[in-house]
Amino acid sequence: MKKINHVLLIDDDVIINMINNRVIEISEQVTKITAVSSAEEALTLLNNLIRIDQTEFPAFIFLDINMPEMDGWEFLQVFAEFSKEILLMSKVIILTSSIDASDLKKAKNNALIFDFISKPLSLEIFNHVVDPNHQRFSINKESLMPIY
Amino acid sequence: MRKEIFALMIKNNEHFNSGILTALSSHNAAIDNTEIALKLSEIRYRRLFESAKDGILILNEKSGKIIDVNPFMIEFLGFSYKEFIGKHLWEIGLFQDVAESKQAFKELKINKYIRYEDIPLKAKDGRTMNVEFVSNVYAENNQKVIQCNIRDFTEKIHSNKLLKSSENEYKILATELQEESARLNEAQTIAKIGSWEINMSDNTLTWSKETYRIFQVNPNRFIPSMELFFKHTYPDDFERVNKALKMSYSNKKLNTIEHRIVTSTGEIKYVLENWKVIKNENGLPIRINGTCQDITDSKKIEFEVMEMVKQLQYKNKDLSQFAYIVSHNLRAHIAKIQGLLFLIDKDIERQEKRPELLHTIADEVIRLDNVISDLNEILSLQDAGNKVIEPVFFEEELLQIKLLLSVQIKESNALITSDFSNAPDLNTVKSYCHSILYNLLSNALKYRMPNKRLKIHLQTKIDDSFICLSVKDNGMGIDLVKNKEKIFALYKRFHGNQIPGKGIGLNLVKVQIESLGGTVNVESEVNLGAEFKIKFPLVNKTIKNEKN
Repeated sequence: MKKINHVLLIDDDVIINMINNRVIEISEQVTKITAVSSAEEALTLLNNLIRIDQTEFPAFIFLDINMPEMDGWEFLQVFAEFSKEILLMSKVIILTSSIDASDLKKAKNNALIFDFISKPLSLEIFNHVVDPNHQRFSINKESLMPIY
Repeated sequence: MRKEIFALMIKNNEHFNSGILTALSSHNAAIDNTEIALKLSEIRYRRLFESAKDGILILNEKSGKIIDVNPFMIEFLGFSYKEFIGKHLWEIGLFQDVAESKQAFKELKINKYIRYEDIPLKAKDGRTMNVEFVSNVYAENNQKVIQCNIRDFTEKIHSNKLLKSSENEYKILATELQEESARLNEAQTIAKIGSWEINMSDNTLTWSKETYRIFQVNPNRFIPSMELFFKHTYPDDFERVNKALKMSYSNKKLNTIEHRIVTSTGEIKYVLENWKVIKNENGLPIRINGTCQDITDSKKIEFEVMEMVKQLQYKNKDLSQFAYIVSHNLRAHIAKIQGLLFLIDKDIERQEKRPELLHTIADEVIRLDNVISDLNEILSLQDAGNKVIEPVFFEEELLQIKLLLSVQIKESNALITSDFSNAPDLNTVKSYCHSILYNLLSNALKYRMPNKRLKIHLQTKIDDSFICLSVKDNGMGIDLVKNKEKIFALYKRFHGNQIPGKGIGLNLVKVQIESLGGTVNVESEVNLGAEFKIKFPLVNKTIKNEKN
């Protein structure tokens, strides 16, 4: 099975980034994982990739919503300004601690968002969400909720 | 021959020679005079008989049968002359009871006179009438006759009856009117609706009893007038009421307005006025009829309900904020712990990391506990009702806070100045005032510009019924265009992780000042600084929320 070129993690919480990073490593499906602690940092990185090497543009972006300064929604506003070809290269997945129904509703109404996952990211959920057969917002939250 | 002379006498009356008359008279004076007089009387009687507006019947005293009838009677009953003659009274519809009739005749013979005021009589065509029947006996040509005079009583009785019944009706009406007026008065009292009327021709005002009661004006001492009404209108409402009244002159609809009045005892009442302008055929207003309802009680309830709704909205907002905190902040720590547990359990390759992960879990548990403590503190703050209000001196509070923050002040080399001369103290909940000042100062110290000397200035002043405290700094400021909504929300942070903070300070400030009945506002520009303005309500030393 072909490995995923690059996964970008955006979360202001370093522990969350550490956990997610390790979960993805364990999945052995990804060649490169980058974790950044702010939306601004992520945008700089993405802009650099577009300029330098578009093949490195992450196939999956895991995005937190609640972040100081620029939050997840604001990141998406800027992200939407990339060209269509670039946008097609990436799937944005919201990864949040929120279990707020209004956040999920807002996510579903945003065409840039591929799926919405509650933290923490588990191996099962990660494998499901990166599966090419997986449709937009197809995660059955109940069955995939970790039981820890 | 005598007749001819008599006729001649009358005919030539004017030219009659008194000498001739004298000659004739002297010749046969006694007889002639009597005869002439008799003749005259007869003529007069006949005329009376013929032209009378009463029915007259002449009866033979012996047989009781009709021997003559006058034209009025003929017309009155509709029988012909011939039909009358030779009939008994009961045959023409009078005294239809034969026995009764005979009894009447007996009485007539004894008394020579009878009178019935109201006896029924049937005309030929079936009409029934009431008649007055007077009958007397006298001799005519040596023969006894009975003369019966019959007068139509129907109209008289009818009008009598009418008069009587209308008199009764009037009495009933008058009683009803009195009762109605009493009932209306009572109803007005129960409904607290008085009525009034303005006569446009002389601009006079009339009040019902209840209107007097509503205005608490003694009806024996004051005559209502527009001046009196406007004198009792609440000053702030005068313009509005006056305008509404003037505007109504030109319309046809029912006008309505709610306003306040100050009664003669100084009580402020809410009234609802409804009125209609009555116009004459030329469309000019002639009078205004209106009602005035005392709605003070329902208004009070309305205000209470409004206050309750406001309180509920606040509570609801608090609750949704609470739900938000639970779904975001509590969940954030739990999610981390879940993730860490997953690594401890499944990350076989990195067994050596376990102690580190356990340590991180322990940290997260402490943070989780802190969030719960914060929530508890904020929720318990939201009712300042039973807190003691006491005098608080700004200068004193600032001194204490400077001591608490002395490390940060020294570190930042901040210049803190203050001017409390306009409002040196206030009555409030001391711990809240302390906490507000502490959080604002601590925030200013935290979010300073790295290469600019921090200056903080505190100032107080009195503004209306508030004491305003301003805390102004020249620090990093906050982008209000972006964050206006979120600035006072719980766990909202606007600067990156390089500056410590939980995002609770400004929320505490907001919760505390709002529970005191005040407000907090902020003006800020990025990199230029921020000014927080706190409005403390001016309160007496008594407990703020006396209801509890």
